[in-house]
Amino acid sequence: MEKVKIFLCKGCEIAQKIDLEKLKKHFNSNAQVESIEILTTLCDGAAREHLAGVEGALLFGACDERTHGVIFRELAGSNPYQLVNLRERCAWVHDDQTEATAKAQRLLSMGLAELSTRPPDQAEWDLDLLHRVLVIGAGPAGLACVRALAEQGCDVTLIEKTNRLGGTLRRTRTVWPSGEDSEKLLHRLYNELQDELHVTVYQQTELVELTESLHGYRVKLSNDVEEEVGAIVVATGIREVGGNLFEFEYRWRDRGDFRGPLAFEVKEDVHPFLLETALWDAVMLRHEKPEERIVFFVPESVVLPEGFKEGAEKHNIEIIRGSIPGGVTGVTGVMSLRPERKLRVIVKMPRRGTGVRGVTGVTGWRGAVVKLGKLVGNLPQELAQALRIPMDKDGYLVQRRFRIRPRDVVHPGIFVVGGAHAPMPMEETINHAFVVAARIKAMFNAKSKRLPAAQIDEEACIGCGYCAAVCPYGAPILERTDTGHKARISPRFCTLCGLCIAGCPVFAIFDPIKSRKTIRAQIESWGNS
Amino acid sequence: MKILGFTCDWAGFALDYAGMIRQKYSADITFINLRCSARFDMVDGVQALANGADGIFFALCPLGDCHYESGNHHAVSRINHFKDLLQIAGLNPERIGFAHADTTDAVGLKNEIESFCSKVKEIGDLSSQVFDRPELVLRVAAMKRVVSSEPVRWTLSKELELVRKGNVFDEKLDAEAYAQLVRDLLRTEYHKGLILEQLAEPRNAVEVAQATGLSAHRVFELIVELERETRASFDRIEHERPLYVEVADG
Ligand code: SF4
Ligand code: SF4
Repeated sequence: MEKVKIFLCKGCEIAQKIDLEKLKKHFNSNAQVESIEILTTLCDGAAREHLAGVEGALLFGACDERTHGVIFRELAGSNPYQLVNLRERCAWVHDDQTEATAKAQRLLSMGLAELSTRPPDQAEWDLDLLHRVLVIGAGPAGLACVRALAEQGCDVTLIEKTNRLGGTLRRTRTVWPSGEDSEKLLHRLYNELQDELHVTVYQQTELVELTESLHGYRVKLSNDVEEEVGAIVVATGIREVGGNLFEFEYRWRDRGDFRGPLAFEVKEDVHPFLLETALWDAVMLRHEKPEERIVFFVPESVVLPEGFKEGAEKHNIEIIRGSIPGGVTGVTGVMSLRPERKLRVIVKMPRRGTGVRGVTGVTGWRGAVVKLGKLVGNLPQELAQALRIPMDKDGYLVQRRFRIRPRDVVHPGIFVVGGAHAPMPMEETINHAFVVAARIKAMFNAKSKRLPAAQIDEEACIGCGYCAAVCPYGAPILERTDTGHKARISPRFCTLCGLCIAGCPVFAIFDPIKSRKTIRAQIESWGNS
Repeated sequence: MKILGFTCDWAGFALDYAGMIRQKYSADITFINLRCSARFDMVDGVQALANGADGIFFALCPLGDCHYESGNHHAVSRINHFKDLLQIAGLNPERIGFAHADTTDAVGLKNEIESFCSKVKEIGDLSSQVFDRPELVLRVAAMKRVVSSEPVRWTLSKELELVRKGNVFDEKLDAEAYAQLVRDLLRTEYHKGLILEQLAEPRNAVEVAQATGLSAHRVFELIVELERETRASFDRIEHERPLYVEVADG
């Protein structure tokens, strides 16, 4: 093994607490050590000059990787190096000089062990991504994201499951809470989109296959188009289950007018977001029809959002706890429908408006009824699996690694925007889309560095599937081979957390930065010193 | 007193922070950084004991706050299994300790470290326990066999599946039942380890029983199992007693 040159720093009170000369004497007699020097400080220009041209493995005894890491990386140049924190982990926390010196010696021996057992050539690798993006879903989030990306010069492919662009924007009347006309907003997004040159739009198209490739992902679409992209944006939005608020808004927008009393029938599993939107609609209606009865029927179990009651009261909107007594009866009029999408009657309009006076002794509700149900994510399960995005029970994509990368990144190169995360107001959706677009661009430009991934020794692997089950990032995949199942770890997803490494029953997984060998060597050198 | 610490990178922040605000703690403890605490393998724990650790301490993120989603849950269960193993081997499980620390919780972590170090000091040197040094070496060697044995690692890797499936019925009971299952397995494997340590040279069961302190009946039972697992084999008959020997690996 290559011999190591040690440099110790005298600065930052290290020399006061640790007897560096003693350490020097100790390590001079170590067979692994070529030389050991004590410098006044390691983080200044003098040290850089002193170390210029030095070659071989270097061990620094100084300070914290996180505060001074960059300096030592520069200092080492292309040489392999290891930084041992003699400051925060020793000099600053121990008072007794003898003890501190002994501990420093231990720390340095452990650093030496780590340096000498570290596998070579396992530096971080560049994520050289193709500047092309696939956006799934042409709702407000998707469209806004496409627009922002296209403006920044990315090639964009937009795919939409249905035959029309617009998503939720097509189905709602106004944008909550700004009150902007949905149609106008859609046209704004859409027209701007049409002017952009780099956007390819496929309608009635879905993603059918996703594989990793060298510069991103290879995607196969249902219209047999195959392409390679550097990033994927999931903007699949939300869907109403057991309710028809969106349809109501759509009809309302379509007809432009509305008559008769209106009831909002709230379901037990209502999404609070829908309640707020519905109240907003009710208030708008109230402005148009000051005399009409508007009632929310809310089951006892539903907790109303803050300010809901007050808002309703202010606009003379009733809230009745319980379900509609006697159900809906005596509906005499039917709102006309467009034949489009063959939707059946959703909003029923009475000729004469009569209704419930109180909860007791009433036969039923005569008037229009809008149901407020659940809101769920719109991404098909298989697609979520293909994208390795975990979903919660309502079909929303779970934001992972929020501690490390807040906001939007699920996996490198895969982003989720808008309602697919959780229902959010339209404006927020659009802002979110812009943020994501900016992040994608930044990612392309940064040529981001990635840690090397855990590696599997195929010979040793017995295909037990533990790693695939335990990995929080879905990095390992079990593949069928001639010799049985074997696991493979995809480097793009692995964070090298080590969960699978320590648990693999046959020690088949290898950590390229801190291998078992390194840990063992560290423990041994700790034990010996 | 030698105490080895393992810290995840993130609790390591707290440790560095403790340095920054000069929170003094005992110099007996030296930390090794692992990226996530779940990287801890019992193999490393036994290695530490073999290298003279009187105590082993873990610093990890608060539960539910793991930077790798669920890493510290796995780590805690591994640490608990490791404590069980110490107990089985007749060592004081209090020698293993852990603390959850937020990245900024320097003072809290320092206090935990201090109280752990003084506790280990109270318990005393590992080799100062009732038995002598060679006995300790023997026990650690048997433990080493346990933690790298396939049945143990295999069962531990099934924890996810078994306990999660159990959740459908009754979470607590099942987790406890599983822990008991692991304890039983660890005990059996530990005894097998002790026996195998004696079988480097051909020996009969009675000799092994004397050397290990296990009952002759238990030794017989386990040798039969070891034979079935092809980890030990019948060698020859001497003085009308069958001799067994360990099967070399591979
Ligand atoms: S845990 Fe190990 S043996 Fe099991 S599938 Fe993964 S690599 Fe293979
Ligand atoms: S090291 Fe962590 S992220 Fe990488 S494959 Fe293993 S469990 Fe997954």
